[in-house]
Formats: sequence, C-alpha cells, structure tokens
Amino acid sequence: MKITVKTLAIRPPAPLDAERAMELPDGATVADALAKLGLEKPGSHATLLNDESVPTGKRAGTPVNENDVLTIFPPIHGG
Amino acid sequence: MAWHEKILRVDLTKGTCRAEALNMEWAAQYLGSRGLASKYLAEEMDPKADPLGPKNVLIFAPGPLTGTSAATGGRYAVITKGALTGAVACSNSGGYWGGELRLAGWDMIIVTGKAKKPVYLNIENDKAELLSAGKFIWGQSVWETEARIKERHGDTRIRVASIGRAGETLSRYACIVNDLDRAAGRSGVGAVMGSKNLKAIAVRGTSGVQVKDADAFHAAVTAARAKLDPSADRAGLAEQGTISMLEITQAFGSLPTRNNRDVQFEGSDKLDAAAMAARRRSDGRANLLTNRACFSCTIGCGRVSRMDPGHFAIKGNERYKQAAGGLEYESIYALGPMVGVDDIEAATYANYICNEEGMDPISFGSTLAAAMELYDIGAITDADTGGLKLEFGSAEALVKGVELAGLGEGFGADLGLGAKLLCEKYGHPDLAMVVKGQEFPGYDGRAMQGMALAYATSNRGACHLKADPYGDDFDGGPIEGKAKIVYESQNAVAAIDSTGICLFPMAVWDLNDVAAQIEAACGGGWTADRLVETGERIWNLERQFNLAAGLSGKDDTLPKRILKEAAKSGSAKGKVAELGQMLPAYYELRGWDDDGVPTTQTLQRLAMT
Repeated sequence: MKITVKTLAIRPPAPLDAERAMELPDGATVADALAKLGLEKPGSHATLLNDESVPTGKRAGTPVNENDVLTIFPPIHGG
Repeated sequence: MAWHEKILRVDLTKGTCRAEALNMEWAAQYLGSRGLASKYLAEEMDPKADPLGPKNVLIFAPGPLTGTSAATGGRYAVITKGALTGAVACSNSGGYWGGELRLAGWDMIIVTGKAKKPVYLNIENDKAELLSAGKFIWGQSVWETEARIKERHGDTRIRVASIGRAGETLSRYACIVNDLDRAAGRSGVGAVMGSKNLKAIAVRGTSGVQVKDADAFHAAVTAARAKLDPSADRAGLAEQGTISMLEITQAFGSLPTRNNRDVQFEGSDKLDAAAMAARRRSDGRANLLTNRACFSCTIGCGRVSRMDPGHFAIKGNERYKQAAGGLEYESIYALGPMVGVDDIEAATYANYICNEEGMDPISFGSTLAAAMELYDIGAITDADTGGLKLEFGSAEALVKGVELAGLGEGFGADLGLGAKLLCEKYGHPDLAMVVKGQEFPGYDGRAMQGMALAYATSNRGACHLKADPYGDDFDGGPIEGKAKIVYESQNAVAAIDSTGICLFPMAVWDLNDVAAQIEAACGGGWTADRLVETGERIWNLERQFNLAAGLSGKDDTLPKRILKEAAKSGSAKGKVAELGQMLPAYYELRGWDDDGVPTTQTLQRLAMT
C-alpha cells in the first residue's frame, strides 16, 4: 500500500522533505508510518490523517489505507 | 539579590521623578514584572478609572532575571488599564530596552498623572529627568523619535521605548515600541502613554545587575542553556521563526481567514516560512534577510526582512528599502489570511508601518478584516472610507489602510477604534472577532478548543500567550481535559511572565529550571511549586482588578461566529467552540463561583485576603 506523508515545520535534524510517498504493508497503522519516518521523538509530534486528528494514544489502533494522506508536525507554540 | 530594590516614580502632573524602595514583601508574593506590577496597579489606581484619563497608572516592569545572563532574560512588561479593553493590560516585550533599564539600576518605572505638554523621560543610570518632547519628537514616528533622541544625547547605545503617531492620536490598539521593532503590543498600552503626553523613555545603563549567589546562578544558567541550546526547538525557531506556524494552522484548519469566515487560506503558501526565504523573481533576493536575537537570548527567533524595492507599496520611498523587522506568525496571520491578502511584500510593508507608527499588527489586521466584512455586506460604504475599496484580498486596501490607521487620518480614525467599537458603530457588533474588546490572535477556536477557552478566560482579552493549550489541541485532545490544561498553564505562564524571561525556552525547560535560576538570583526559597502558586495568585489578582473595573463572568465568552457557525473545512469541519462545556469545569478548578468570582476560600488559600 502506498500513502502520502507530509511533514510540516519539522525541526532539524529530522528529515525536512515536505512530502513523500511511503510504502507500507496492509494493516499498517499511523504509528507504523511514524516509526518508518524515523523521527527522533515521534510521540511529540501531532498527526492528521486525511484532515482528521489522530491523538497520540490512538495511533497504534488507527489503520491507514491506500492513498491516505498523513500530515505530521511538531506542536510548536505561537509568537 | 537580583533586585536593586529601587523603583523610579514619575509624576507627570507635577513633573517630578524620584526613587523609592521596592516593596519586597510584595515581591515575595508576586515575584516581579507582570505579577509585581499588577499588584502595584491594583493598589494604586481605581479600577473604574478612565484608561485614557490621568488617573490611570502606567508601569514598566522588568523581572528579576531581566538584564542577567539567564537565556532570554531581556523581557519587560507594561502593566496598566488597557485602552482597548478596559481590563488589566499586560503587554510583554523583548529587545534590549528592558535589560538596559535594569543595567541602569531600576526595577520598575511607575508613571502617574498627565503632563501639561508632551515630554520624554531620559534615564542615565540613577539620573532621571523629564524633558520637553515639543517639536523635537512629538508628531514623529517611532523610528524618527529613536534616531533624534540618540542624536541629541550623543550616544547610539541609548535604548528607546516610544509611541508613534498612532499612540499620539489615541488609536485604541497603539503599542509601545522599543529598539525599532520590538513592542509591548497588545491592549492599547501605547494609547495610555499617549494620553499622558509621554512620548518616549530613553535609557542608558552601565551599573549592572548583581545576583544573590553568583556561583549558583552561573551553574543554573549554564545547566538551563545546556538543555536549550542544542535542542531542535531552539534550532527550528532560529531557522524558521514563529512564521513556521502558518503551515501548521493551515493544515490543521485553525488559520483565521477573512475575519474568521474561513479557517484555511488558499494563498497560505505565498506567505509561509518557505515563501519568506525564497528568492524573488524580481530582484533575486529573499524577503528574509537574517534572524536576530533579543538581550541575552540564545534562540534568535526574530526576523529581519528586506522588501522588494519594486513593490508598489514602496516605489519611490527609500526608507522602506532598508532592512527592518520582518513578519512573525501573528503579524502574517493578521496582515495576510485574516484580510485575505496573499502578498507577502504588502504584509511586510504593513508590518513596517505598524512598527514605525506604533500599532499592534494583530489588532490592526483583525480590525481591518472586520471593516472588510462590513464593507462586503454594505454596512460600510465608499462614502465612509473616502473611496477606499475595502475588499478582502486587496493588497492596496491593506497598504492604504495601514497608512491611514498609523496617522489616525480619514477612515484610519475609524480603524483606530479597534474591531469592537468599529463593528458597534456600523451596527454589527457580532462581526468583531474579539474577547473583552481585544482582537483574536492567529488561532481559530473551533479547531483549537483549548485555545477557545484560553481566549475566553484571558484577563487581558483574547490572547495566545497567557496559556499553553497548543500541544493538546494539535494532538486532538478531548474537550473534557481542556479546562485543566488551560488552568494549569495559565498559572505557569503567569509565573514565567513575572521572571523577565521569554516563554519560548519553556518548549525545553520546565519550572524547575526557572526556579533554580530565580532562587540563585533572588534567594527566598523559590521552587517550581511556589512558582505555580505565585502564578495562580497573579491570575486571581488580575481577575479581581477586572471585576472591580466592571467586567464579569459574562465577558468570558466568544463571538457568535465561533460559538454558532461551524468551521467549513479542516480538522474541525462541522464543529463549533464548545465553551459551554469547558467554562464551568474551568471555574470549578479555579475555585470561582458560578459567576466567575473567586470564592473567599480561594483567596484565603492564596493568602490574598
């Protein structure tokens, strides 16, 4: 299965590429996608799956599907 | 200890400046800066007094860490009754002015009364005097005022905090600008300064700041910096600035757009951090020139920009072709999506004018957005605007609007009213995106429910900096948990605001890191728990001031649009702010009654009776 992963405002030294295709096995979850991305602290990032929030505690139980768009960003503060 | 134990009291009516002892008993209870100055304000003025009258009190308050080597220890607060809100105002600024005041040997400046003619305050270490502003600087912009003061006194190292022409003409959201582009921005503190005929405060200090235990302080500062300096959060802020938030709020659907009619902006990619750093086709240069840090800061989130010299806003005007303070998240939100404009150069120009004439870009942009909606529905006409076409998306309207507002001329006088009074004047009060009269920052409360509660309950009106619900909101946390997050973070932020450091290190630090630095600097047994208790005391003190000023629990609310009109897109599509569910839980946690009044038990617990 192929999904699209977008990363926004990711802090260095994490990968800065804004958008990439990711291959995942059938049955993979949001947590699997985050792990594959290789972020230093995946738990400290927020995720949107097709515009829906996926809270930290629900990522391991939230499956992804073909052509899904997963958006990942750090919960930075305003200023 | 870090305190000089010395306040400068300036009576503008009498034209006097004198030193007096800092109340150390209050410092033990309210720490410094925001907390301690709010205590002075509450003790010294009638909360019902006209904010633009001579009985208002205007306080400039650094914290005990301001002027020290603590990372980001350059902050000061301006505390007064806000001209925009009629509530307690607490506007915080960075730059170098606050540190310079402490280096001059002062812990606070308390300004009372009103000068018969315009004056400025000149401070050189322990010498302070009121001098005529007259034709010298009254009627001049912030930028010109700073240049003239430095020239007259023959010292380029003087630091200046001043008002521009917006403050002189009593724009309700006039701010106080120091170091050309750092500002005590919110709630109209510049209008209060203008109402007192006080144009500027110039400071030069060489005496330094002593801490209680130099070795312990050095160790605490070094340990805190060892956490902050290598962190990804610090690097990200330095590299991308706060403007990187724009990508996030756009994706999340919490980006206020066209006066909160929408929550995502189709032109956001023309305004974001990448756009700011991209080379322009016109001249091959980027809008972003470099980053910049405030006093003692190891982050450097500030932006320095250089406009496209061919842009229509500055053609033929050399002054704006120089490098100057650039866009941050809040300014780009307000001068871009909120007014529907996708021209980053026009937004940069509008931000320059806000700095030059001393206006809060959040309130200006949000007020212009309200005017654009009023124009769109026909409530404001060309006859009202003098022919200016106030259409959403018009960069020309943004440029002309900011010029008029900066000078208070023509329709600019209406824009200077702020969104609340403007919308009331034109018969549509519901279109003002405000809380307690203060315009929204760049987060829509339908997608960020914790922020909705933070806006509604902020003592100074809608504010993104008085609580920290960001992480839970972006993580999609449940409504049931919002009240506790807002309550606890409001207390923590109130304490941090009272130390003299910036909020940004708190992405890496916890309150133990702050307490260690405060304890080494001041002594007296400061711990993380005591900071939390102090923060809660400060929050209740501000609340009591507001209640005495005539505000009530009914002011802890949001505009009808946020409560009744569902978000059209993004993660909150179909949702409204659930304030009715969150507010009772928040009052209960605070120990307030159903009307939002602190109970006797709460005040006793906090030693406030």
